[in-house]
Amino acid sequence: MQTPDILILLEEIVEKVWRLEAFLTEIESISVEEDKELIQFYRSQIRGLKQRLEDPITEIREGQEDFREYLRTYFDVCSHFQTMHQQFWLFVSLPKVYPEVYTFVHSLFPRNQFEDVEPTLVYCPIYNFGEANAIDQFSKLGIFLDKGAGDRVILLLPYVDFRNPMMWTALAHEMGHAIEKDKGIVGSILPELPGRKELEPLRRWLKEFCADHIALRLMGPAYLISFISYIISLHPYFYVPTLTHPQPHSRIEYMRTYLERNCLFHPKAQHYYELFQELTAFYKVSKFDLQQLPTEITSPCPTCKYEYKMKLPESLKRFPELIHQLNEQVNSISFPDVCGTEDLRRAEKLAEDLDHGFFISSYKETTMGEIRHHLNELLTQNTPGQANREEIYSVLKLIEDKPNKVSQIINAGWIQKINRQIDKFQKIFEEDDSILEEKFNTFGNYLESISYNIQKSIETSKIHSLFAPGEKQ
Amino acid sequence: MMDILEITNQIQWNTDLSSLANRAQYGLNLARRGKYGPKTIEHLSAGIRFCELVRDGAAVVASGKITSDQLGVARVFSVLEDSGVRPKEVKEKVEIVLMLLEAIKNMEKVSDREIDESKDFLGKLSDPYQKAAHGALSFLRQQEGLY
Repeated sequence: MQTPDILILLEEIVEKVWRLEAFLTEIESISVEEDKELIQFYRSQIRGLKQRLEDPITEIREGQEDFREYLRTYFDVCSHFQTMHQQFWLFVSLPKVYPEVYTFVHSLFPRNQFEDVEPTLVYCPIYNFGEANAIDQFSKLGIFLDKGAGDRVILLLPYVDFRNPMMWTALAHEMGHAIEKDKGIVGSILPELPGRKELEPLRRWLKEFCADHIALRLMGPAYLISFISYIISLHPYFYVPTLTHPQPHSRIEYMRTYLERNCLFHPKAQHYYELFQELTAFYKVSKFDLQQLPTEITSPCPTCKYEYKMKLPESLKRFPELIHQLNEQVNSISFPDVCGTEDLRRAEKLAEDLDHGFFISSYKETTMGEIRHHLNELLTQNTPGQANREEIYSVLKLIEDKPNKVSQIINAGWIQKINRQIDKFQKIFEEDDSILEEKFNTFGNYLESISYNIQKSIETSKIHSLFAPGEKQ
Repeated sequence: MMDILEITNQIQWNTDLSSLANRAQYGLNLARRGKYGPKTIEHLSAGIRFCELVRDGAAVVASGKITSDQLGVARVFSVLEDSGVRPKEVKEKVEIVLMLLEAIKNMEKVSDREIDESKDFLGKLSDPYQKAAHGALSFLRQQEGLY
């Protein structure tokens, strides 16, 4: 059995802790008096988490290989991180959701095409992404809005990812839920029948796969990678099917199949896919076959501290036969920017630019060498002032920048992260002479600059596309 | 349905216990390599605290009578009990590890085998706490959302 790549896991949690601290800094910049003491309290808690992470990092640096112990630290810190995240709702001051998040969502789901699922974004205290419906939420509070009041999709974004565009891919999944509801996709495959409650888990599983499929179509491998990045913050022991969600294994296999079939299973996605496989193998987590689901499974439960046995309804066995119908329906939805192989090729190049600190909002189809060649041709074939308008414009067209798609930018971000960020992490934290806080700051500054470039590239590419001919959205 | 704050407290409580045991493992690693700095002592003290809590909890549960001031330590043991650990057995083993941790803290010579066995035991004993914490996290995630 192969040991999971502990360095990737440590890098993942170091990044999450740093992002949580960055959110706290953002709160501090707008804080009211009542929050000051709380901010200091959470700062000290975060210092404690960093100190916990120093132990496995130091041991690895010194050549030790007690991976089981390091994994234990990793999952403890993941748990501390998530409870701290949950408590941030105690703050009076919370920063506004960054406008780039809206730009991200609108680029994938343009208003003119998806006006019925116009979203509002709010923070989610639980480290989770979600989608809710305004009318439903009000009715839970006992406020029953008139149907004419209009509806609104509410997307939930965890605090920690407030400035992390690479995880916004999960919002594509959440918008997928809104679209599924709007188009009644699952309802058309499995009509709601009164008194048939046992069909509800099946319906919910189909909804999850539907949202995954939509996110995959739009974001390609970036969605699979970000999903794994999110999932691995939970102990593999709980990667089980539940009444609301299929087992993560099934979802990840479904994503892999989609990506492979569409020649989109990028080696970097494979990297994270293997990490997931190694983790589950290490903890001997059983993978449930969708064709032969058991009737009873062990499920987590907070009320009995440990776990309980849960019955899976027979109806879930119909899942494999329905998934094909679901795929057909999702494939028939028209999206302006579906992620394809050409986008990944572009993302590869953009990842290098990103690594060099460049913005990646646009690209040139022609290289500078080719432009020079065409310009020389134009100048040698014509005496000054003789070239006609078309000839001049044909050269100028080569100079023109084209805006990048959101999927290209985000995939470039993930490729860059897997190519370089883990090495960078190792390099910074391997330095013997600097103190822990300095290491975190250096790594944090690096993360900050990459995230900022991606965030601004999304914004700039959108503005660019509004001015580009034939790209009105 | 439990209150979200109560679940959060429970997660934190279980993670704190798991972390105490995990820190002890690092303390033992350092001691095994002959490193007796302040960090080693801090980590070993965390392990001692963990063992004391488990021992006291097991003793209270084994006695069959729990007074109101003992509810806290009884609760520590209840997680282990749920995972099938028996109070009398665990109490005896924990006392051995506790003595060993104290000895190492006082820089007494202890064999590598004893250190490895203690590390292993602490790992197994803290496992239910880590799982209980993540079980509750998993439950919260499933209410709504991505997973």
